[in-house]
Order: sequence, then structure tokens, then C-alpha cells
Amino acid sequence: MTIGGRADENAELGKILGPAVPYGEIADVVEDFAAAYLELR
Amino acid sequence: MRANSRRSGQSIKDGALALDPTVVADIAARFRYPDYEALEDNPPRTGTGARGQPLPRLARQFRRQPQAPGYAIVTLSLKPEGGPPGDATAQQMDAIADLAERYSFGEIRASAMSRIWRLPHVAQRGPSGVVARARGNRGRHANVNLISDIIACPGLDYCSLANARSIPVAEEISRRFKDLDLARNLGRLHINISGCINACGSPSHRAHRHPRGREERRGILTR
Repeated sequence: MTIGGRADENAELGKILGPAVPYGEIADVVEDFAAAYLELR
Repeated sequence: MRANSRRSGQSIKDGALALDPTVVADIAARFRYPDYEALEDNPPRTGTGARGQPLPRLARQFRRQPQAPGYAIVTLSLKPEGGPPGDATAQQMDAIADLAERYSFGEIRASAMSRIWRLPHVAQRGPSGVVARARGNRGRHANVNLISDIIACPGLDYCSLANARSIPVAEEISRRFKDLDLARNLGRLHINISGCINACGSPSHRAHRHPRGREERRGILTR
């Protein structure tokens, strides 16, 4: 999973975040990302 | 980056590759805008309904048409909850064509976000009608630029290079974030999904979040 990439005028490559994630857990991890983002922003 | 691009572009434009003005004029004549009406620019209406009520869910689907005062660019999302991102049925494509005929001088654009259709020349007095009719034809997903506006490569379902399936992941994420209030609270967020390390779903790894399929000894993982 990479995170933080941008495709606009401030283009940036995403950074690899942690170890690989099993296929069946991707949606869970995305939900965790979203929850952490809402909590920390 | 923008300044560098501008400097680089200017050096090419003014250098040995400078074009003859007659050639530029000839090319420009081949790109014509529609016969726009002379309308007053009234951007606030792009975010309001027929009775002037605010339509915040729809506002992000409209942008002012920079070439013509009084007109808007309307984006229609084809990213349904629990469905493959970008798929359109024959009926939906007919409906989009009808909307283009009625509101947008017969023009439709597929955007760089792929799988999103844009009507580029809609009079600002018309967007609420466009959206109402698009909703009636299941082209109604008001999730443009939100977390469920996902780009997924074809993945293992259609691509022989892939290690993992992409589309089911996109479908599951769109189900998890079907609550548009939650999605709007998260704000603009792009997820691109690729079924292998070639990363077709996100060239140059530009997405905010980007799972890519990898095959490892323990089985198919994503990274």
C-alpha cells in the first residue's frame, strides 16, 4: 500500500506504508486509514 | 514543478522549435467551440437547485466553463456502490448521449480520471436538470473526488499480467464508504488500485492511496 501521492500541480509520489497487506484485508486497512485520518487531522 | 514546466515550455516555444504563426492559426481553426449563447456568468447557480436551494452534494460535480461565461462543465460519476468502477450499461450510455444532446451541444468528454464522463458545455441554468435526469438513469453517484471515486485497473479478471484482482477490492471499498456524509467528511481523496507491480491503476504512484498486487511465497498479497 502506498499513501500520499498526488497527481495535481503539486505532484508527489506515494510512500510505501508498512508491510504488505493480505488481499482480504485491504478494505479493512483502508477503513483504518480513514478512521486514523479523521482522528488525527 | 509548475515554474519549471513553464520555463521549460517557454524555452521550447521560443527556441528552434518555434512554430510559424500561420501553422498555429491553421491548427487553431480546427478546434472550434460551440455557438455559445451570450449568457451572464452566474456561478452560484451551479450549486443550487431549481428553487435556489443549496445543493452541496452536487456542487463538486460542476466547474465553470473557462471558455464561456454562463456555462459549466458537469461531471457524471460512474462509480456505483458495490459495482465495478466505470462500468456503464448500454442504457446508461444512451442516457448520457441524450443528456449531451440536450444540454451540452452533443459533446461528451472522458476525463483523465478515466471512467468519468464530462459534459463540457452546459449552460449554468441547466445543471440541476442534467443531474435530475442522470439520477433517473442510475448515473447519479454524487461521489466525484471522494473516497469511493476509485480508479481500478482491470486486474486478474481481465489482465494476464496481474497477480491479484482489483475490481472486487474497489467494490468492497465502495460498499464500506457508501455513506456520503462520511465520504465528504474525509474530503477529496483518491484511491487507485492496481493488480500488479506495474501499477497501471496509478501511473507514477500518484494516488493518495494505492494498493498494488504482489505475488509472494505465502500467496497473493497486496502492497
